[in-house]
Amino acid sequence: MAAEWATTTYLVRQPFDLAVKSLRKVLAEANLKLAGELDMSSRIRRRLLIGTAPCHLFFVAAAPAAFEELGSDPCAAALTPLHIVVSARGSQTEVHLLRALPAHQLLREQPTRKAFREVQARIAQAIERIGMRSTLGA
Amino acid sequence: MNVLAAGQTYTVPERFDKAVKLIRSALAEAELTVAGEFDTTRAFGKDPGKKAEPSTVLLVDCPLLVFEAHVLDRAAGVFFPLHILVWADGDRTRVSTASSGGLFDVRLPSGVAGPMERLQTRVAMVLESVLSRAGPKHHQEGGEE
Repeated sequence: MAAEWATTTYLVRQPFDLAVKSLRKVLAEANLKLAGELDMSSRIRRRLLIGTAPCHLFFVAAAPAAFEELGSDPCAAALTPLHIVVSARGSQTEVHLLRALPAHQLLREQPTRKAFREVQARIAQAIERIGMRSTLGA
Repeated sequence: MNVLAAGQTYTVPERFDKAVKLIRSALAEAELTVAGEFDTTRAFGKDPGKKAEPSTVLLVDCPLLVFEAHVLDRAAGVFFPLHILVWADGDRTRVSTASSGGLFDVRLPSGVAGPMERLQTRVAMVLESVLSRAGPKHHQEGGEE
């Protein structure tokens, strides 16, 4: 059985709407490009007529310069773009992101691994400006 | 590596633009949603010294499966939608599915594995149907499942 959790969770002591704005700001300040956003709770409500707590998905891409380095490894597509989940938790907000780094045997190209590690680290540093890492497991 | 491994690579005997249309149409027929598309032309399938060919990542999911995964843990969104990489290879197009959950030997959030496995199965069926529509000259390369 795998020992480590695949995701890291941060708690932001701000209500959801404010936390979404704060996250956009810190990501932009870290020169991380938002490739898109998805309002998950609205999609579920629209398609299934089920109400859920607000939840947004941010897609973050590596900078174009890093892209040039990705090479031709199809496994890298799983991480392009990277997902950041922003989810309401009462009057606060949780942010989830992928924690684990690519396994060496699967991302075969060294520059690819390096590019993703760098983006993951920059995302984590940006989120740590507005939230603190949760101690509650995943 | 856990059970949600990187998927198979398919070769569609159609040019890139037509193959993307075929895939989108087949996904819609299977009630799978393309939640987003991400141009990766400069990122994948490029050999040194060769001009970059078009490529794109389709972000594919199914609201019911997403809901099922989200009910137990919102962190499931880290793994949904599933990424389908489509890239031109001369007159052909290559298609590969990959889930970030399959790349690591780690514990996934509660409730992710089942819905993701079902989504991957449905996407694989869609891609098989695309191959049968595109003509007889196709092949599948071994995946890692």
